[in-house]
Amino acid sequence: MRLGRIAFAALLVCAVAGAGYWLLADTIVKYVPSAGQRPLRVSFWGPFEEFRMWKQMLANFRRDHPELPVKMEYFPSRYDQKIGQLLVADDAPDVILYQDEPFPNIIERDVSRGIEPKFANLTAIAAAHGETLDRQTLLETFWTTSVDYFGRWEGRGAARSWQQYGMPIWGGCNLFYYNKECFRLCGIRVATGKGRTGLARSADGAGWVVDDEKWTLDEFVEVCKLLTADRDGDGRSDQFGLSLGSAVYWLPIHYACGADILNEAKTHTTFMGPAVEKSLALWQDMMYRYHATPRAAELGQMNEGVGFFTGRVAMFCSGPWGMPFLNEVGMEYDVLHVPRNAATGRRATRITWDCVAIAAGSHRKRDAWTLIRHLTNLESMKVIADVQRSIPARKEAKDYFMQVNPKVSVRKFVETAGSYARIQPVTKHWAIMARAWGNAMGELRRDDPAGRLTPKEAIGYFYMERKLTKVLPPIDERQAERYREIYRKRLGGAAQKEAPKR
Amino acid sequence: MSGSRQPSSPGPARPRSGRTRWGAVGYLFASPWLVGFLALTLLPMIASMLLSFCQWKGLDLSEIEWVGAEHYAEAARGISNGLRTDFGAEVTDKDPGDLDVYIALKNTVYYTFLAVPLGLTVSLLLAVLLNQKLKGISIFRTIFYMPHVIGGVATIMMWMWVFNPDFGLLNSALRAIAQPLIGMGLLEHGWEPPGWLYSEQWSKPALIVMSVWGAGGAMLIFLAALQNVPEQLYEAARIDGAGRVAQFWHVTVPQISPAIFFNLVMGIIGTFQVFNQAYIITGGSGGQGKSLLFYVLYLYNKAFTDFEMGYASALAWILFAIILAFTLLVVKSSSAWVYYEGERS
Repeated sequence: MRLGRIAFAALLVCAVAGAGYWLLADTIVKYVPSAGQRPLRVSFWGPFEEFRMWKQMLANFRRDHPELPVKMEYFPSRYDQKIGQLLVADDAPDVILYQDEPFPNIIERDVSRGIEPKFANLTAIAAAHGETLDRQTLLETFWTTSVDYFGRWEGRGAARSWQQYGMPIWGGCNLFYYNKECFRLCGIRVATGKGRTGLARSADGAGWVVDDEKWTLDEFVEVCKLLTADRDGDGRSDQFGLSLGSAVYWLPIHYACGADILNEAKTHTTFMGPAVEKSLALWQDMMYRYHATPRAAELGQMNEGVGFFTGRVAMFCSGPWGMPFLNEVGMEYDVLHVPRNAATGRRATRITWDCVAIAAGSHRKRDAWTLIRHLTNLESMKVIADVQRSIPARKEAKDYFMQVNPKVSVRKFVETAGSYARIQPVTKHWAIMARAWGNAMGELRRDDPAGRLTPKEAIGYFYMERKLTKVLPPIDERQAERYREIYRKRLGGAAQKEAPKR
Repeated sequence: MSGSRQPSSPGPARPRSGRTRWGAVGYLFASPWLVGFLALTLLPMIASMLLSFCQWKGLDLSEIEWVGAEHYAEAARGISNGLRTDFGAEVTDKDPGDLDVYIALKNTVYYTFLAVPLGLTVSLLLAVLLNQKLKGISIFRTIFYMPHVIGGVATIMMWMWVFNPDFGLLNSALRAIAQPLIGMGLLEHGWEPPGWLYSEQWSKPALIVMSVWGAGGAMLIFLAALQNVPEQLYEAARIDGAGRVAQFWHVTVPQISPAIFFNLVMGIIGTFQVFNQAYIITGGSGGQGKSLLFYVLYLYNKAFTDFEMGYASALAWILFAIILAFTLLVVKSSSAWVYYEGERS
């Protein structure tokens, strides 16, 4: 009897201890001094081509630092959310690949509210290891725009200094990809030359010649229309001129219309006025007036890449990260510059960069810094260039990047990054702004004509977002109120009964 | 001393001590559930109730800010102005509140009000069919129950292919049917079948059709209930001249009404929490024109995409209140239509 009780008690203790270990092992390992034995964790996202690229970069790291085991944490989707949740749980990977858009929010510091950056200060870590990470050196080594995204000035007066929170790793600007076969089938040729306009009849009069160095927005739209075709004669379009996934990829067109979202100081929204209305009207017209952009049902489960390589869409807007998949499937494609504003002759597109950062809660900051230095060295930059993932952040790797795939005008990405590419409208309120902006653009493209907003109503809808106007007020409140009034009238039902003309 | 160990020993203190000891052992055995309930259910519930009155981005505990009932007011304003909009009334509020919560709620109610009755009808009809005394009926029962077991992401992916506007099974069949009709001039040239999950108008009906796939669960409960209906009642009804339909309405339905009640309540609770299908199909965006933006998907987006934990908590409690209200309504009404054999003497 006594033996039975002892056995029962022992079993119970073992069960509790086992459960406790199962629950707390990771935490114990993290906080005990011997945590150095734990592998360094590095997280990233991307398709499988990028997974292979990371494997290669980390294999090189293991070769150079066999004493530092590394564990890959690959999140193919919803990356920001997962990293956010891991940061909340104080269980974030040591080294984190991160984007520029949410970066200012993640490194926010507000002493009065006790808010500290969630990423470690790399300048301080480098200094602790006898290295200098000053802005000048960074600017000499990396693309200027990439440095600016991931650092900031801190302190005042003589104590004011540049603090870097993320090391740029790669990036790129958005250009238009075109499917050569689709262009051929529509009799459109791409050529640059003197004296031509952006779009002209070919010498034999049977086709068209596009000069992307010169083309204006109107000519671009014309090309999209020419590329929209019903090949089998069943009355339905089989090929569309352009596919645009989200609002952010509309930015080159938005800029070509002379429109913007934020003022230069990034303190006020400028999503109003005739230029913005023109941009939004075109966004809607491309789908419902010209039908040069497929509706969701016309693309079905195809994403843009698949729609593009199957010839469903002739052009789409993306950065260099569009290339690995297209190279993998072996299709014939190339890239085109974005169109110009007809009146000013100016053109602009978005440039975006990613960085590698260290979680503020990491207990392995020194090792993490070693890994970051490896990921941003020339050897890793060449691995990135080989996969054509993006423009490597180190300027010295740009030639290598341009030489890898001679079949594609990769140089256009580099030229654009160094000339007309614009830094994104990124602030610490990016998420709120992007949501309001995306929602407004989405309402312009609703299937249901009765529910579809007009451009003016969409601007009003954008300015109804109170959370946005609280942190990024409109540049002209009176004008914003006029747009709100238009939207409120729409809500009131008067406009609802009459479907918008577009 | 050994006497004190006999549980049957009389005396005032001993049995109490025994009860206490056995009670402790009882609690010990129940402790995995108790700990789980307290730490993983009750505590988060209390935390979410408190959070619903706060603003919190979910990144830093020091950022929590008390805002009172602001979140509830925002959602209530959105729902009330959404209703006003739908009924053509003028919206005078400078701040109409969160109109998306109204869209999400409307989508969810639409889905519940169609998916639940359809699911109940289909599962009841299947149960009646499978209640026949036929050779090999157990094989058919297995076949019809199987989809309920094979649920989850794989099934949703399969339905996405079925509903694919271009290459899907359904639209391929519809196009094949439409071809001769176009030739005869009954349909216009360029006619397109619905975009189903990718269309604002057809996405919810498509999802409701998808929901019938899982009817096997309710079917099994109906089947068990049908097998408990006494044969004598049918005999008596037949003697009284009742046909098959009359027997079904006047004998079967009242007899299985507790099962209908159970499936109805569970169906309402389940459909108000519809999430997986919409999340997988739309990638969380809510689809075309937010037509698949269901309440729980919206709540999830607020919490884990927009990191508005306080507002998401308030939405969760509003959903709790709505489900509770519907459930109480059904429970209250049950006295009028649910027949329990033991209740009436």
